[in-house]
Amino acid sequence: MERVIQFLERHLLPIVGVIAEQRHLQALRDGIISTVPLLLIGSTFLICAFPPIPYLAGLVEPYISALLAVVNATFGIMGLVASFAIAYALANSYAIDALSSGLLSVSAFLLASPFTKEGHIDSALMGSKGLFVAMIIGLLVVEVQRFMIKKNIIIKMPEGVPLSVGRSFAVLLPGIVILVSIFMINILLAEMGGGSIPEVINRVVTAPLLHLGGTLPAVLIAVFAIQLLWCFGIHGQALVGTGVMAPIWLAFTQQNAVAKMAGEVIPNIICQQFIDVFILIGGSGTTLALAVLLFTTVKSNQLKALGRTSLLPGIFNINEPIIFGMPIVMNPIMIIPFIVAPLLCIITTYLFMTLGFVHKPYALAPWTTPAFISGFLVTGDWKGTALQVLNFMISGIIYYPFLKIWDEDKVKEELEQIRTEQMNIPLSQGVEPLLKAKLSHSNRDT
Amino acid sequence: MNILLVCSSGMSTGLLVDKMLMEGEKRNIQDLKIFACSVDEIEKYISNYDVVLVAPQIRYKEKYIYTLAMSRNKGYAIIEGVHYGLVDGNKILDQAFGLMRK
Repeated sequence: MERVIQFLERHLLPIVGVIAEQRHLQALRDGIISTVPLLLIGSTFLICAFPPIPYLAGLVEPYISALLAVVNATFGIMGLVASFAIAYALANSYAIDALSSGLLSVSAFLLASPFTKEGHIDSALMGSKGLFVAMIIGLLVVEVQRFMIKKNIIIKMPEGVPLSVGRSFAVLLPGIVILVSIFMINILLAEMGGGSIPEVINRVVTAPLLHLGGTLPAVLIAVFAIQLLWCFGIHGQALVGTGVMAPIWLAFTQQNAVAKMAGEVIPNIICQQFIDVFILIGGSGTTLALAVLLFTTVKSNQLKALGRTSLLPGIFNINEPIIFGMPIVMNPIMIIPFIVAPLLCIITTYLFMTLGFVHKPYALAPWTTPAFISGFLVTGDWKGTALQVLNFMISGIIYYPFLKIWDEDKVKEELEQIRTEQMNIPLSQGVEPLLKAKLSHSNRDT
Repeated sequence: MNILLVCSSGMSTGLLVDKMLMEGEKRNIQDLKIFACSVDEIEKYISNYDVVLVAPQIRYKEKYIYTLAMSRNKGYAIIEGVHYGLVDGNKILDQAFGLMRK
């Protein structure tokens, strides 16, 4: 075991580090995450527009379109915002003028997205349908800019010209190259059969990615990877959850919100909320139930102390105290339920939503929203909360036997410690004095 | 002394801030400033602090943070997992002061 751990420490950690710090992946992640506050605000208005209580729904009826305008201006422009934010993040990492890169990327994104016949911006392409377009264009814009700066193909202003003027000139040539290229691709695609850049990207990149990422096995694999990384004390959710899966999960979130807005059937079970709300109850590993068990049932002093420190953060889905304090990291006993519990919750949640027992989520809630509230909020369905309770109980049942074993180990360890501290108690006197010592020890502690 | 705590989003290190401040008060330490930030914000804050303590779950970012801390001549360490888990303000404060003396 020790060897396996050492091997993984030495070989896994650097790989993980490289992935986490890879510039383009990081820019994609930062750019997409920057849309989340907008989605959260949009969700608030979405919930207000369709309150789950019939009486309230009647009251807001006349204001629905006004409320949905906010949803349009948040969920509806997720792709547009990402096109700015991704280029901004990547340019920042290269120390290129980030504002001009972001603006150029927005312009390129709009040029690539064909307008409607009436000459309007096509709002359908500004949301999740534009998300992967924005990702590709955002990265390319900055790369072209960087290449041209490196080769010195830019207009340089003489010294003494104000910095902002110089900057606006520096972006001119790269800007022309980028926009003219997109212009030509547009014409080429139109000649070839009337396609557009978003259509091509969505067919070649988005559709397969979403198709794969939206399946049950994909989610099981992603969450398994998240849990496994945590077992080595690495923030799996930040790496795999937000780092790799977020564009896919958030695209599904957006599709659900748009469907809700249009009064259509909500299409996706798997989305950001599926993970945040129904699987990571109490944090990665569905540990809220474990926190409650730690608070109520354990006998060893160390775990009792852990119960006191971990319950409150656990309510807000923060569980580093448990992961490092128990610890779950490198703990061959606790790793088992830590991996199994969330995977089981995925299956129950998927099953219940497929069968239509619980509504699919359409609103996004911050990941720190306490369980049992969040289930209702994101689905507008009290059964959302019931499903969270079910997952909470399932994880509790999975954790309990392993916790008992670990707790007994800890009690033994603590007794052993007392015995070595008080060497005057010989073993031959049996366990009675040890228990007494243990009692006085725990009294001292509290 | 100014201590900067860094984790993925500044939430779990946030738990630690109060514990460490309480401990500092107990020890009668004057001018103790402790702040928790996310790893993405570290460049924004690092110059105002003497010591950077990193949460164990983001130690895959060690190279980046270490280089940054060294280039600004700041004390640097990864917090021990067990101390971190038990939110042990006492031990972690010791760790910070240990870095200070160097």
